[in-house]
Amino acid sequence: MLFSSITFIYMFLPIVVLLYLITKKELHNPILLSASILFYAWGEPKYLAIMLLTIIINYFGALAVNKFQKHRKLALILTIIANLGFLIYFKYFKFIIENLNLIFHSNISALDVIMPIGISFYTFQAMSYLIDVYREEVKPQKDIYKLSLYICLFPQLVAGPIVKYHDVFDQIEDREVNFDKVTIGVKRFIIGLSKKVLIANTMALVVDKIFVQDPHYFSHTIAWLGAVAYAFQIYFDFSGYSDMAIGLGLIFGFKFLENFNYPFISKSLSEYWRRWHISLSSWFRDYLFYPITRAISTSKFISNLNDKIGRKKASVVMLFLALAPTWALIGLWHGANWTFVIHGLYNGFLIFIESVFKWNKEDKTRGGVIILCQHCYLLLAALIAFVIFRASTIKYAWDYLMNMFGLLHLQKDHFIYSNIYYVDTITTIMFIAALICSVPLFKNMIYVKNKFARFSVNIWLFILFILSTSFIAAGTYNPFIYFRF
Amino acid sequence: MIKKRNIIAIIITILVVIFTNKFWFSTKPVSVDFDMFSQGKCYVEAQLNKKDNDGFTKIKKFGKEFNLAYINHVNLNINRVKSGKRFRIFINCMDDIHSISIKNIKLADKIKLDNFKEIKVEGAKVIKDDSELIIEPIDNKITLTYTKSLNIKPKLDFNWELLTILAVLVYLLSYKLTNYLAEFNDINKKPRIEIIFLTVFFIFLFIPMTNINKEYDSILENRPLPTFKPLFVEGYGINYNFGKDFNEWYTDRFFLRKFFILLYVNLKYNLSIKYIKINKTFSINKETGWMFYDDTNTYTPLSEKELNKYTDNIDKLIKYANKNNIKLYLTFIPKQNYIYHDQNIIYKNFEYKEPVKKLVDNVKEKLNYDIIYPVDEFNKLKKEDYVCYKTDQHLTDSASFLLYKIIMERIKKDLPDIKISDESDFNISYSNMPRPEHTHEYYEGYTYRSSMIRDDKRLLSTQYKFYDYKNKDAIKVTGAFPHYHHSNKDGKYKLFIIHDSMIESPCYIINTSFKEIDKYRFNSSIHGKYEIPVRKKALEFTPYMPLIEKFKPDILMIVMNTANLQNFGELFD
Repeated sequence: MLFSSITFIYMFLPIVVLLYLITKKELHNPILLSASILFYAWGEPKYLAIMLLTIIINYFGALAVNKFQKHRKLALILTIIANLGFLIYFKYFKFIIENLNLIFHSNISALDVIMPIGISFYTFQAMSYLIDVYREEVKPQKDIYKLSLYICLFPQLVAGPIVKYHDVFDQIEDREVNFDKVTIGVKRFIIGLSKKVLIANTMALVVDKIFVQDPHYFSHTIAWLGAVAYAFQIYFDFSGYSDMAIGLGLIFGFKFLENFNYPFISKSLSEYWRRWHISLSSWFRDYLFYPITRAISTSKFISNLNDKIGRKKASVVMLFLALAPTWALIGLWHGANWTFVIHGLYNGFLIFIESVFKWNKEDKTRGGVIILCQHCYLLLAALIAFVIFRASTIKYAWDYLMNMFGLLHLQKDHFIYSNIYYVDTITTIMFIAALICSVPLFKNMIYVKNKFARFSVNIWLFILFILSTSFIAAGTYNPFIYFRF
Repeated sequence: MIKKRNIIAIIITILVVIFTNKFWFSTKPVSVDFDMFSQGKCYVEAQLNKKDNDGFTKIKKFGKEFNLAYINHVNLNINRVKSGKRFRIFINCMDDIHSISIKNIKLADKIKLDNFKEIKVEGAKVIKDDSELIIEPIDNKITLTYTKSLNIKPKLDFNWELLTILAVLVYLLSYKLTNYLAEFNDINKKPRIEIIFLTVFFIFLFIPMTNINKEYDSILENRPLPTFKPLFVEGYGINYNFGKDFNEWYTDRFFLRKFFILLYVNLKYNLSIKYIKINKTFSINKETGWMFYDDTNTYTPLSEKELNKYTDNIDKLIKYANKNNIKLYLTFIPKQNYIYHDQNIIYKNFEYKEPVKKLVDNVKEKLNYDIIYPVDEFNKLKKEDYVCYKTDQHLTDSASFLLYKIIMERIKKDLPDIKISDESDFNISYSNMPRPEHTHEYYEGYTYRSSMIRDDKRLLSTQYKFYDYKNKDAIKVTGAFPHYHHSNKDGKYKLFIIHDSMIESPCYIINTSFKEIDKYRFNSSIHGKYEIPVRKKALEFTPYMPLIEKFKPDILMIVMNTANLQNFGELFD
């Protein structure tokens, strides 16, 4: 089930919220768990089995890690292998086989496996729990129902944020549902829904029209338009979903950490990634980058290097060695395609350069022009990354980027569509809205205290909610012209 | 002293009681009874007009389907009538009905309408109107209007028990609610603005599930609506697609759906300046008023495999026709998007290649058979007149007449004595409303209607030329969708047509040349209630064979819009 569907908003949500709010606290977790299982099974009930297996494996895995102190590392590794096993099979198996076929010129047929929805998110949540137990940051959860609730809690099940166990385990045990949380939760949900439905979906229409064409067949302006539209699409789609998840969490008493913090106002890619999909980047930072860095720093290779080239240069090598696999895997997490790996490595490389030359450090002595240049650099770097991310192949991404920078020989005879095909009035309005909403102009609007401002905000939110519903409903309008009664 | 919350509760109670008046204070249904004798199925509807005029704009109605082969008494109960000044019966014949007899019309159990001379009949010829009314249908839609004024007042139905229960319960509930909210505000010091916001939001979430649309079809969308498929199906076990099925069912039927779609469309339309695209489906050139239904299949070129298969199928058709001594004519009609692609702003620069041309050339080369494909003639006509309507994708009467001439000239080569009507055989009129359908009625056009744009007269200001046969009494059209029978006492040959909607309008000109036309719409509703004959695929030819062999036509014609070309692949599957 999707948050931006009529069934969710006008059937599932009101019934679950009503049940939740009218029942005693003791029933809150069972209601949420049942609702989460129903939510997940709604689209593809068969894949519920994979999620339940993940829960069981991690439940016993964590108990084993805790119980068998001597073999706790083995228990951890086995459970992680099991978790990653599902993920690799469902998400990367076909990709691996295709690449093996390419390398060895073999003809192994890959099974056409459909990926269970949300598997990347709940697998990472499960691993976060396991690693937290291993690190003895939290105790293993003895109540399997509570662990199940953590792994499959429906607000963040499908598209994150990836909630770390140590951030929410106390809330699963006990949390307060109050008027303020519900009010803010509803408002966050409406904001998220509007971001997703009004802005992201409108941008998606533009993006799809452009990226379906060969880059030789549209102008440089259209190429830039496609890149900008895609940046807005993915930001408002993802942050909209996160807003909805955080809002729903609040309605049910949970307080999830923020997942986006106006990334487009960053001055470096390092800062950008501290503001973009925070739960993912912090997951990789905590559970992969830091352990790799620790492992490398204590390795013989680095101590030898220290002696040979000096501590400063060795630390640069160490940084590179830690960043490369982390960013390759961040890229791969997004999807089974080389474009995602390149996207990850591209980001990692720029972050490495920024770190080496200390561009990512705050420096209050920098003048306005330099700051402006930093913003321009970030936006350009991010747009290039988005093109790589969206492209179906590396070749396509290359041609597209060449078109953007005027380095591609365009076939003007094949320019089929007039500009109005890509951008109509509604799209223009949404571009302006996207531009305004991607900077923190209205950041605190739902927290205002002034009575009149509060009233205006509520009216606006309600209008946005009605508009979002009308956009969703219009998507279901499906007239069939060649059928007559 | 009465507390404020008490007054609010009383006001809420009064409002709820007023808004629910139809439950406790209503009028009893007005019964309409009469005897009706005929054969076959028809839909009968009784209508009561509130105003004493022929407009029938303020009507209450009730209708249902009857199979008159088994039922001869019609009883219809019209609900929510406040007063009825004029009465009429609407009959839609679904089968081939030759005559209908009606008598003993009784309204509200007391008013007898026995003077049948006072009944104005439209769509049928009156045979007898003394002791009973006997009519012979000309059209499948018949209207019987009682021309005298009536004064029907329904009996009142006051349910005081329900009113008491409702008032007490609503008062208790609203008092409790207002009390709760007031206390809530006092205790938690929460701003009322937020309390109202949350209350309205959560109430609003429940509204769409309060009144699920129970219709079978969506008239506006021209498609059947999904039916509810339960989680457990007897004999099949668990329905693993329940979630998806439920989504489809609910999103197509939730309350206020039409309101939300209208809001979207009209917002988009009014905000757009030159061009508007609605829901990947309709594109509108707002400056010129051209509206297009965008189906992309015509942009896809035919593969060699498809080309060979279509050609083989046409070869089989030719052989079948030859075996049964029938002349075969295949006609492809270029679609509106193709003829007027220069009016479609987004595709202006598009080099549009119809795949049909390739098929026409291939069939000519391999089978030495000429398919009728009047694209050049239409492009020529386009310079002088409209080929298609701006607000509907079908042919205008001017293009229909041209198509008729082209087809008939071709037929004349095989049947030299066939009569070809001339322009002078028709009355020419003009209207700014299209007339594209089998009903031969004027309306705004399908594209206009289903785009859901409301009341933009600018889009409906184009004048089109219409052809109406002067000797129309010679022609009789019977049947019901999707099978119609045209007969013309002046004609000589028999024609069997398998077609899509493109030939509906031209058929009213073609019928001037044939003794009989038996026509079947192939894209009606495959596996649906309008499917005739029953078949697995839309253009599966085998089920038509017994009908053709029974009808024994001189000519077999398959006519279709080029957008339906893919149906040729399934002729003999």
